[in-house]
Amino acid sequence: MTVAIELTPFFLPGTAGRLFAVHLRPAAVPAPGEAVLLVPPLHEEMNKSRPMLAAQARRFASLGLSVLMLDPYGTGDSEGEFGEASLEQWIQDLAAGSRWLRETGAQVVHLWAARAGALLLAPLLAIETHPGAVLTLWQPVLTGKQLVTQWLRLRIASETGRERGESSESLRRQLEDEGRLEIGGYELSARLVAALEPCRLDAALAADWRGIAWFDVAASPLPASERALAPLRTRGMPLVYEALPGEPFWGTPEIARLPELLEATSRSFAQLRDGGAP
Amino acid sequence: MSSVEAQVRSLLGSTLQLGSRAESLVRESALLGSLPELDSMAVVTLITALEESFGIEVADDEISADTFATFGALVDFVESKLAVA
Repeated sequence: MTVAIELTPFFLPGTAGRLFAVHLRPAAVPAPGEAVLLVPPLHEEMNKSRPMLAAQARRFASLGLSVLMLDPYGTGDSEGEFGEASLEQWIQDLAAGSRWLRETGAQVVHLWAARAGALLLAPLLAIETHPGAVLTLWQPVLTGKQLVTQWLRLRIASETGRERGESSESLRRQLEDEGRLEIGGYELSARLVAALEPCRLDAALAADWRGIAWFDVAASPLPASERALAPLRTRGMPLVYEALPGEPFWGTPEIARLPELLEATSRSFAQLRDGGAP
Repeated sequence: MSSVEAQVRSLLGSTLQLGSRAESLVRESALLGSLPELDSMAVVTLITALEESFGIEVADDEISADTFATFGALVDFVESKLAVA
């Protein structure tokens, strides 16, 4: 069944600058009662993931939901530079997106986080609760420490990094001394690194969700994900976990698509929202 | 062929989008500097995938040209990591 989707790009006024946003909803439903807010990946992974995120947003809309994708301050097509961005600002921006969805008719705002977006969930929930929400996770980054390691590695693995024999240690010193570091064409501020590093997904998993759907792109379930899910199983949280083999689209040289992930995400979301046994 | 080799081959294939070229990789096949797909972003995605799938930890100085020089070198590297894990 094909549902006509209305897609509206617009700028949402943020507290630091205008935020580029795309809103999707079923054309026949002007004010859906339920919505999904995307908490996007960061850095280059945001760009690489866009086609998959856009495809999933359409699918959520065809399930009858209002869907908002926004680029937090200093990322994507929003105002500001990555080097000026702060965690607090990003959280304010996402909270503004969530409030916008409520103001336009949603009683429930579900959350959907991809990759490093998962680390922003706990600070977001601290300022804006999301009662009755289903949480959808796409290969979440589990800890801020992992994210920072990954960013530093981007530099270490680059030609410059290899020529200079850089290490996490030398880069951290540089970050401390100069307050910033260039990584893959982005300026990274010491302040952002310090704020992101202590963030953890498990702090958000401990919240009260209607259900959690978690997908990894891997040939078999990842042990680290299973460990993070164990306390949720004990709590009896409605849960879907699936490892799907395929190309890790957030980091591949060419844009990749994984239709199986879209199928599984929509199916699991509908099950968890409607309270059926997954 | 060891199962480690098969798994590294599959991870290389999906991370670098090698398609059928992944099947034709032999131990001597050159990777870094030879595969245009192996840019720094792909190296980092590949390292993360190796760590997550094999439960190993890769140190900074192991992100060297040697580790990624050939397919055989990369398989040996993962096997050496698993031996001490």
